[in-house]
Amino acid sequence: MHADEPHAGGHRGACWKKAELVMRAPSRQLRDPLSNDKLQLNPDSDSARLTGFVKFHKFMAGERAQGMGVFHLEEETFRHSCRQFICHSRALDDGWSWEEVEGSDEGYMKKSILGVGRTAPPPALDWCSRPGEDMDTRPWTEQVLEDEDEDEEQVGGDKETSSVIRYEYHVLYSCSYQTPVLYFRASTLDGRSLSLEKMWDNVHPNYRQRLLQGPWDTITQQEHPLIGQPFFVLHPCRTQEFMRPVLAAASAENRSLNYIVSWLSSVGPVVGLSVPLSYASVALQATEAPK
Amino acid sequence: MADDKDVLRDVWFGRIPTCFTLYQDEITEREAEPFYLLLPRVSYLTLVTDKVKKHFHKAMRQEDLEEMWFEYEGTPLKWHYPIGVLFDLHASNTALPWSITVHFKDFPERDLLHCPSNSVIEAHFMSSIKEADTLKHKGQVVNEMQKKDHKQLWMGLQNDKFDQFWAMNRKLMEYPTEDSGFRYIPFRIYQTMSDRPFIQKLFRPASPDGHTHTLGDLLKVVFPAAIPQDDEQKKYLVVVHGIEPLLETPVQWLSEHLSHPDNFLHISIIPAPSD
Repeated sequence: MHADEPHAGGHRGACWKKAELVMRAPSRQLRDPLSNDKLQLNPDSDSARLTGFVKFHKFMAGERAQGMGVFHLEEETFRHSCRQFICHSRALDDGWSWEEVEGSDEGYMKKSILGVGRTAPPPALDWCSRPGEDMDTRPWTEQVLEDEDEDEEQVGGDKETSSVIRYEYHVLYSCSYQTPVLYFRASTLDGRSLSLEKMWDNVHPNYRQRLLQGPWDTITQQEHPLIGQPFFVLHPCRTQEFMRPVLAAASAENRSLNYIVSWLSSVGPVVGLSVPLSYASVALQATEAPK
Repeated sequence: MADDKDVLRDVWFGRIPTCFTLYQDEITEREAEPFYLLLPRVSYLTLVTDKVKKHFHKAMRQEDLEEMWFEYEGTPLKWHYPIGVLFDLHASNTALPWSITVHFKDFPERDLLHCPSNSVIEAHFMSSIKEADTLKHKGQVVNEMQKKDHKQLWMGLQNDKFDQFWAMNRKLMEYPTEDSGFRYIPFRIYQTMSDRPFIQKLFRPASPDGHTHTLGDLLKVVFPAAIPQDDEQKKYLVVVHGIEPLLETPVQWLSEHLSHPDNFLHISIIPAPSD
């Protein structure tokens, strides 16, 4: 959705304008293959994101057709794929690095981005606004509309403003699911954490609507198992399922593929993280110079 | 399969006498007396403290009430760990009752997960069961269950109904008779000596040549410092449900009998008292 589009309307449009540094303004129109909604993208910076989006749908569509082969990711392969990924990131200078966990051979891949977005009133208030009530299961869009109304009713006090937000993305290995897992959080520079709803506000609406119809089913706040702090997590229990067709296709065509590149370009955009197209060459490099 | 029902009952009905005290800097309208409660070891703090919340709410002004959280001697208590794990890990050397401080302000965002409702606890609980079953049976048992079966596990825990819970949970504890146990043992080893909250690895109940793996074998791989060397004083206690199981105990037996309702075996490693 373009920041200046009329139907973005009112303060909603204003919010996107603020988020523009993160999301960039799209300029060409396409259609979402499933919903037929208008999709727009910037041919340069957003193409990788769209590729991820289209691919994601392909995964889902191909799911039933594929057999039940085993396509898990071994921990050693995870580390190797991350090494290749970071190597390419250094060439691009786009900020991914590897964090070792002290006293072990384990670690995780990490990136921080500064962006401009809407910030919440103090998060504690935000989370406690409906104490004791069951989780909201309405479609995400309705929740947002209601939240917006509440914001308007507020006079003075906790008015939302745009400010600089630090987004943190960590890629960890789950030995239980034998897949990578994406952990993420956002906070203001003075250290206030953003609620999940506020984070969504800064994510492209195409992803929110299509992929996050039940955000609570797939995204929860959980403890980061290596540093012990609260993060949001895209639950890994379906990762094997949607990666299976991609890995099967690559193996059928005898083509090498970097699991982390394929996976992250699919799930990253859902939470505002883009993976430039050139990462696709990481797998090719791997073919030329096997470990 | 779990066959020692007495052990399962003892684990389920373990209680910790606890005294809840309001944090001194909370503003009250009238004096807030301490509140005493027997906490079930296998449950979660935020699931069993409705009475505590109501008790202190009565003494406070509505506008001073934010999300309730708990602390013991300066450490915020993670509600998403079972109560027994929190006690073993942080307070096993304390005199009873366990003295927990209650806060309604300054929620420690960097330490604790928010818990706005019981459905968040339910989601966390079910996600642990799912992960454990992924390790034990590639998730096949939990996936074959119906929605109402999942509810039965949760309601059993929520309402403290041992029979209701175990009627369903025993399915999660089964394995093919030709196997020596689960595919992998779902366990977590906790310690407070570093920032890393727990260690979790893939570990099988037996070696490829059929040798049964014991708690000692597990520690050798995951936390070797916890195994006392010859003629050396014991540096650490290895605690599960408040007891120190023998290191010779097979991990498969531990997994079936001493796992928490979330189907994980939670093992706490704490420094041995130095007296």
